[in-house]
Amino acid sequence: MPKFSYLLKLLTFLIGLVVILEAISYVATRVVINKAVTQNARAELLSGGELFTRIMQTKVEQLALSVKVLTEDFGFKDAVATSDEKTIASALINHSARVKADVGILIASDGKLIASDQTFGLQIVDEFNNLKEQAQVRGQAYDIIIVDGRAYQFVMFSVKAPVVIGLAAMGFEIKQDLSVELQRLTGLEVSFVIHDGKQYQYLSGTQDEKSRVDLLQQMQTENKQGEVFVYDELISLAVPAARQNNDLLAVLQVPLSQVLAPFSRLNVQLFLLALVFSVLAGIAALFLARSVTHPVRVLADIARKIAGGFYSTPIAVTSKDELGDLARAFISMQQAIGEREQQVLYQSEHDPLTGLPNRLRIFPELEDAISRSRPLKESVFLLVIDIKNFTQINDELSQEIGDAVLREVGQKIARILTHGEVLRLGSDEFLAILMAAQRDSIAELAELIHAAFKTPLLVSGLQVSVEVNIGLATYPQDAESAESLLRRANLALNEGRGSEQCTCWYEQGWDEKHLRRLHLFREFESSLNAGHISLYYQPKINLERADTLGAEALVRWRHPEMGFVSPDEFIGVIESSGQITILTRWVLKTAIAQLRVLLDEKIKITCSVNLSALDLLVDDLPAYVAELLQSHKVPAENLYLEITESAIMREADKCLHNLRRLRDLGVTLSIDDFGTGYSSLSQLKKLPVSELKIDKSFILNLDTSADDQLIVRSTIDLGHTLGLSVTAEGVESEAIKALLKSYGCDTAQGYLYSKPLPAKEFIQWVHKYLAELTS
Amino acid sequence: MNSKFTGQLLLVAALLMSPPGISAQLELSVVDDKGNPLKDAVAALVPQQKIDYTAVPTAIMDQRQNMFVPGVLAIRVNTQVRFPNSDDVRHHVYSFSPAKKFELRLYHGMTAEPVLFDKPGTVVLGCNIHDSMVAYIYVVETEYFAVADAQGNISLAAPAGKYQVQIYHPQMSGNFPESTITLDDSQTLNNKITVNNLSAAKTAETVDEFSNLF
Repeated sequence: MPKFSYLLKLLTFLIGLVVILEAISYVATRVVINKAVTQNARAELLSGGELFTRIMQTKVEQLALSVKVLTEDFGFKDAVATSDEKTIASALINHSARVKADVGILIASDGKLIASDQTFGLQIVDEFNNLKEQAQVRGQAYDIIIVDGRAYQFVMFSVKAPVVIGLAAMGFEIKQDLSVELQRLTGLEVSFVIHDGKQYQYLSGTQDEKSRVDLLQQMQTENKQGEVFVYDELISLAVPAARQNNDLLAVLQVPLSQVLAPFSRLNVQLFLLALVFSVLAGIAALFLARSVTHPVRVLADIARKIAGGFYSTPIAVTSKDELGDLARAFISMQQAIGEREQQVLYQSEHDPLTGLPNRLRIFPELEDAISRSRPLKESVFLLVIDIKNFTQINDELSQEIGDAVLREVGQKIARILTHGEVLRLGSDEFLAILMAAQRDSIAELAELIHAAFKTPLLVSGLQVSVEVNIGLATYPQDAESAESLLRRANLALNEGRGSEQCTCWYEQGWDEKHLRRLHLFREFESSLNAGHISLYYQPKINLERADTLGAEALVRWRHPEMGFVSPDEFIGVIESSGQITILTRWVLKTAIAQLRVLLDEKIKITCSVNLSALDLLVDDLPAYVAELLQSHKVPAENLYLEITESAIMREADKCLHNLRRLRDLGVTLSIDDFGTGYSSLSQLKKLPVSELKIDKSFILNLDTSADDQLIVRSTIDLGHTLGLSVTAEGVESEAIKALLKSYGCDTAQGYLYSKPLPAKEFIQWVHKYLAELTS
Repeated sequence: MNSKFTGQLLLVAALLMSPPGISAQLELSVVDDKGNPLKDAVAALVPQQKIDYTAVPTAIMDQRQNMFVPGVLAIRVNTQVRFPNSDDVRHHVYSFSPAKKFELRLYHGMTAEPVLFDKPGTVVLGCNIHDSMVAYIYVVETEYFAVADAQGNISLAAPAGKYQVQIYHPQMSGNFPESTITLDDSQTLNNKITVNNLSAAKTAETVDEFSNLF
């Protein structure tokens, strides 16, 4: 939900702000109110306590007045003095009734107690002692008297006639109605609690049963008389009913909830206010968020389009705020990205050096040309042009001049081929795509290009001669697709390079040959491992001593699908891929192992193994050979290594060095295919070889060709002159053998004796041959 | 009651035999338990032989400035007491004492009838209108009695013989322990009497304001 996250944040923030503010104001109000209310309640309680005290005082005054009147009554005095109990009791009843006192008593000087209520009188033990004492001393006294769990306010006066002849007292019982009245007057909960010094006891009051228990518990744990205390949300004040003692306490209470009740309406209003503000904040957040998210969403859509490669989405900018700014930035970014992409695309598809389209453009251009050519019934001609001597220019002159040459060549070709597309394929290769109905016109253009480079280029004041090779392939005649067209044009170029043709047209079958080579190259190693490659041996017979035997190890590849693969074909392939060294080692290993087998069979024989030019460049070959010979316990003189003349052409010093090391092992070295390559006699003289093998092309028709006879005879003489033994290859008839023998040729090899044979058959052949010799 | 009486009547016989009739002289000094002289103490010597007094003498208990004068009056049994009112307000003299219960309703001057005290005992007088007015009349069965002066001294003269000594005082609770004394004519008997069982003197007047009660 990325669209709403901002809205959510804003909502959360604004509503959160409102809620926090409201909460703070609510709490603050609450605190103030609580404080005020608590203070109010405290004041209320204190004034309630005051009122209670006043009521109690008033009652005391009432009692006092009444008792005073009674005690000053002459008749009452008379009755007391004369111990007229009946009169006394009736007087007590009478006077008590006047003030609605609950009980009146008289204590005579002899301690006898007369009460208006006989049952009350009977319960008295010594509850009045304190009061009596006070009254005797001061003439009057007030106290709270607890009798049988009932509490009374008693006022006592002495009866004087004129000396004290008794004590008269009257009392109000503190009853439920007092608490009710007090509650009515104060609005407070009123409880009367009796305290006997240890235990608190609930006398009467307006509280319910549970609150009574709680109150007593509270009183028991914490005696807080005269001060306001709070428990269980009850603000409380305990007021003693009398100053004299704490036997009776009036507990005034007001529930916090009650005093807070008027303010709860305020709370509701505050809450409603918070709600309204929250809703307003929500609406505000919605509008704010909409005003931000809408343009942002539009811009996000545009950004997605930009990501998709569209740079022309119109952006309507209306607002002048930051978002408008952003939108304008988007517009310029969109343009800039578009331009830059064009630039990047151009750069990626063009060669910075020549300014020509690069290889990335090859296929688009080719496809384009092909599709255009079809309706026109024209052919597409693909020219691959490379500078024949570019490496030389680069090496001999300089890289800068090389670059300048490339630039010049590119431009020159482009100027000639104005109707076609010229691209730079890489390094010194250019590509031209042309369309024409006739092949001749293209051939003319190719000639034109060659002609253009007849005059040297002038580069940095230097005259640089440039020659080019051109390979050509035609669509649809030579290829059916752009890929094959390109490959075939390249093949034509390579073919031309090989055959020294400046312009080379692709010919049917080249590509297939090329593909087969690729296939061979890929298949070689797996075939070697799978045992599809094996060694055949062809005997080599000494013409003077027929029992001196030699053999040449020849590689045969029988591919399960491709069938027999000619060594001429695949040796070339694996030489170009470098795999030849693997093959050579395998051949050496196999041949030396075979030599061991032959030697074990008591056959005196040498074995020749062909080395490739690449093998001579590997420095550890001599060591490898030595190791093989040693491990198989094969004498080095039994091993012949054959090299071609051309093998020593490259890096001659290194080759010579390795050859000498091989010779030093005791191995015999031979020059193979002598007469076919280019070699100088001086080089031949330098080589540490001991044998010379004349190529079979000179031998095959030796009996009929006078030229060959001349060549072979002089070659044999030359060989002998240089101290080399000479072997003729391709000896297929007795006549030729006789000729060779007459020339003094040392050894002969060919079908006259045997075709190359697998190891087992070869051994059989040897046995047979030797058997024939001896017979 | 004896237990409360710790005082001791020390009798040093010194009876002066006077001509027939009154001849012996007794000097008493009455003090409280702190040794302070006790005024208004009454001492009476009651003879062993009970005598019927037929003559009726008259004593005066005046009322001046809302007070009984004297505060303590001792009389022989069968004496009549007059209660003149010297104030310009009326008084209502009464007694609820068992020895003599009477009431002289509001009167002025000499209008009240004399009251005959024909039984021995203590009579506490009050005024029904003026609570502060208190007086004590001690009615004794002898002619030999006296009230102590401000120094607590009492002087008595009686014929020689054996007497029961009675001591009274308004603050005394209960009776003075019974004791006898024998007087002879030859010498004066000097005695010091310590009265122990005194209730505290009324120091403050009774409070009238009820608010003080609370």
